[in-house]
Amino acid sequence: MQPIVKPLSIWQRKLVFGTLLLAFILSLPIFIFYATGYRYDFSERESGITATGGFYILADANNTDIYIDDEIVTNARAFRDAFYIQGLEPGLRNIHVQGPGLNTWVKELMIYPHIVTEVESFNLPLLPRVRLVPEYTDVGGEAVFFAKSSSTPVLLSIATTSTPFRLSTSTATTTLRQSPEFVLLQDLFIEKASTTASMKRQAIGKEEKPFGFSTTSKVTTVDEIELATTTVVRDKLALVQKGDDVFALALSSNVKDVPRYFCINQTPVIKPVSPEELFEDKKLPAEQLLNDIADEQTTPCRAEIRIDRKWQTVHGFDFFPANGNLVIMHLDDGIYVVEIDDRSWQNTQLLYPGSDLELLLYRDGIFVRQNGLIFEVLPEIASV
Amino acid sequence: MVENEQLLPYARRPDFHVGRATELKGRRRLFYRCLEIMPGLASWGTLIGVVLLSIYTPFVAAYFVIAFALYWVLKTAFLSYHLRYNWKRLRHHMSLDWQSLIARFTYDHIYHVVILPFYKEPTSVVEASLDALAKVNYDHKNIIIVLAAEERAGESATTTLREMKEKFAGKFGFFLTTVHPMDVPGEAIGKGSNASYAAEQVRVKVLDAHGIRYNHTLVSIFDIDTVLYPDYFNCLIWHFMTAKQPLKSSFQPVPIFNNNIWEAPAVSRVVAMSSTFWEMIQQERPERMATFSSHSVSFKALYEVGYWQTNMVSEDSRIFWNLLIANNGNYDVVPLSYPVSMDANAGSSLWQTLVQIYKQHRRWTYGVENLCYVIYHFTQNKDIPRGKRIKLALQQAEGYWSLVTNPIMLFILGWAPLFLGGQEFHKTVLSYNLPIMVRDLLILAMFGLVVSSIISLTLIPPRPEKASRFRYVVMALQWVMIPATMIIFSAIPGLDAQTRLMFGRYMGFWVTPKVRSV
Repeated sequence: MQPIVKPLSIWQRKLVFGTLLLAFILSLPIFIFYATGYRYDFSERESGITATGGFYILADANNTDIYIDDEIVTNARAFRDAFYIQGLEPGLRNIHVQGPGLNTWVKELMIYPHIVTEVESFNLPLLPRVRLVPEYTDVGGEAVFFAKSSSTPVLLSIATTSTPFRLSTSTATTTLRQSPEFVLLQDLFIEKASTTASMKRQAIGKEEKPFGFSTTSKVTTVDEIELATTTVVRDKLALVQKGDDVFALALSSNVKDVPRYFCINQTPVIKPVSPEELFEDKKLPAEQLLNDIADEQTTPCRAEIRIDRKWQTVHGFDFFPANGNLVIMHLDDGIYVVEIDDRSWQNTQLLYPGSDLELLLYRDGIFVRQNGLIFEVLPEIASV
Repeated sequence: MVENEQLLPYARRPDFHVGRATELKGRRRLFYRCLEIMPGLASWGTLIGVVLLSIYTPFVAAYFVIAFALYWVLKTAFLSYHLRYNWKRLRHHMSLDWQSLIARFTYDHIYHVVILPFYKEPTSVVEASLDALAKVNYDHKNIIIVLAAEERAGESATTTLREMKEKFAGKFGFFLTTVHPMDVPGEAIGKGSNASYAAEQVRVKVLDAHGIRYNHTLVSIFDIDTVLYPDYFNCLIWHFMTAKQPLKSSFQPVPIFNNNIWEAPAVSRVVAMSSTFWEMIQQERPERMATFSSHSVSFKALYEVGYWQTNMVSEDSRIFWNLLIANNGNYDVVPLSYPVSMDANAGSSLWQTLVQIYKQHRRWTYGVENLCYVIYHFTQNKDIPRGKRIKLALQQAEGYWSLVTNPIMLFILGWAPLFLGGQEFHKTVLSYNLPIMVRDLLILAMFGLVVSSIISLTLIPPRPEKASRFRYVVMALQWVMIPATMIIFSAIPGLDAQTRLMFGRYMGFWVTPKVRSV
């Protein structure tokens, strides 16, 4: 008599080992080919193996869907707000990202074999979302707004604030307290206006040389001077106005620090500028090729990208608070958000319409003053 | 009379019991030192190599990582197959009536010497082990207990000896207590010197004194927290009687670290069960086995090699290599597939427990010193078949190398190409697919943990009343900690041990504190 369950026999172990070894040998090339982007198309009769590429799409807005060539993309979420879509055959692809109540973001980008094209979408609300900043609060801390009649003004009707407020037809303020936030913002708006005016005066003073001899007939406009002295820097990017246009400049010569959309195939290669060069108002490089950084990568990089201004006058610009790849442009008919990425085209979305606006970016807020009212423009629909 | 005439010819060599390079001279010393450097160098070289590969050739590194992750999945499947099979066999063995199985043998002439070395462990731990021994289904008059204390442990140890002798002396054939003197020249502090001293004492005072033949004596050396299952000796006798060469075999039970499993923290349970599972896997591939922790061996075999080495740390495995080499490769480990219960690590606090686990595993993984010993003697003893020498050396080397490098490569360095690969690599499909593929393969490998989780639940003792039923859920889910425990309590202590050996900072024996709530 002896135990029924015998130890594993050598042949059993060899069989299992051999099977797994065979599985390893056969599957490893498949895994590696798959990982590098090769796909086998069973529908093709001839040469079914294709080298594919992919998209990595950052989509910040909530509740958005991604479409590639009008087909919705599913099961591609890599992180909360990032999608990785692979197995795309090389060629021009149309991406659009849309969601209910949001602007649709659309772009056409090339897919290259074995390469992932990174792109970042943004979707602002179709209807502006604002939070009114009250000038006064009553003794109970409730916001008070003044109105000529008891009907709610348009701005108040679109305000998304959940803070309770009271509408007063009386302008008496003796029983009210002034809101510190309003006072602060009011001061900042005044300060900004006076700084801008001062800069304009200084600029005019520099340009108006009554006893100088000019060989050119060019007259420098106030706007040009004002904006040439207005430079905004964030991380390794700068926004600067040259003439009527605003440009995004790469401040680093290190390719790793430059967003990928600066590096594309079809545009001339320009040497990136250093912050020193930028602020010393040296001549910005525009044409020279930069072969040294081209050694580090297959696609050459540009140093500047022009920001779309819709053929309007630029009244102000800055980086979008939550995203350094977007620019807030204060144009004639409203405040827009424009992406710097100009591959195929730059998406431009209206943040707030209006022609008589003042814009202020304070901390991470976008504030607008219109008709004496100050309000914060909210760039996204609050998630429920 | 020839000195050491009882020893096998090869065991008479002066370097047979070499513990470290410093005990040798000349070229042999240099060679042994190189062997001590080799494991650490190989492990560090691999880890640094993966980093360098990721920096300079990230594509090659990525292919390597994918291949390695796939290998890991298949290795997990391979090991899980062995584990599951041994679990089946273990349960079958536990259900058998071994007494009826051995009824056909004549075995009443066989004596069991049970050596229980201890240091400062509480009396309750010693008592629990002796209690279990007193309850085994075996003729107690054929059991010789040797309770082996250390002089350096002081009064507490001698008190324990006295108390245990009073309580248990009448329950066994013989009950011998020994006190290993401290500071014996040439000895390292550790279990091996105590056990060897006890073995010699029992030979002189019991075996020789009562005319008990060495080849009729089986020695079981148990850690002091070892609690026997009732049929251990019956199972041992069956295997001894049916072994191809019983006097040239060691008998290895499965150590299950479950004595205090309901009191130990989750991390300790996972580490303890992982060790058990590793031993269970090894039981199904005995050609790769060396003895570990509690095991049994014939006294004759022990006597022929001069007992356990007294000058090193991992004497429990070293004794097997001593026996294999002294017997010119003609020596086996017979897996019993029968459990013995031991303590999981449990300190006075969670931190203390973590420290204890780390130190214990560093001591275990310091078993890499055996690799140097094995390769050294494989180059010296040409009577061992060459094929066997090469195979065993490679198996052992691979084992120590993979113990240290595999978890780190898999769970940490697998991502190195992503961070170190550079711009060219970062924009490729391969760069994006690498983490996805490795993650998916590791998830696939984690299915092996489901097997582990189920098996572990069947190996734990009944739930004490004070423990909530919810603990079962925790015990099932605790296995998600495996990646972390593999790195922190296997790879890193292993690397620590190999690095110490590499730099000649030889380790001493560290006694794992045994604390059990009463």
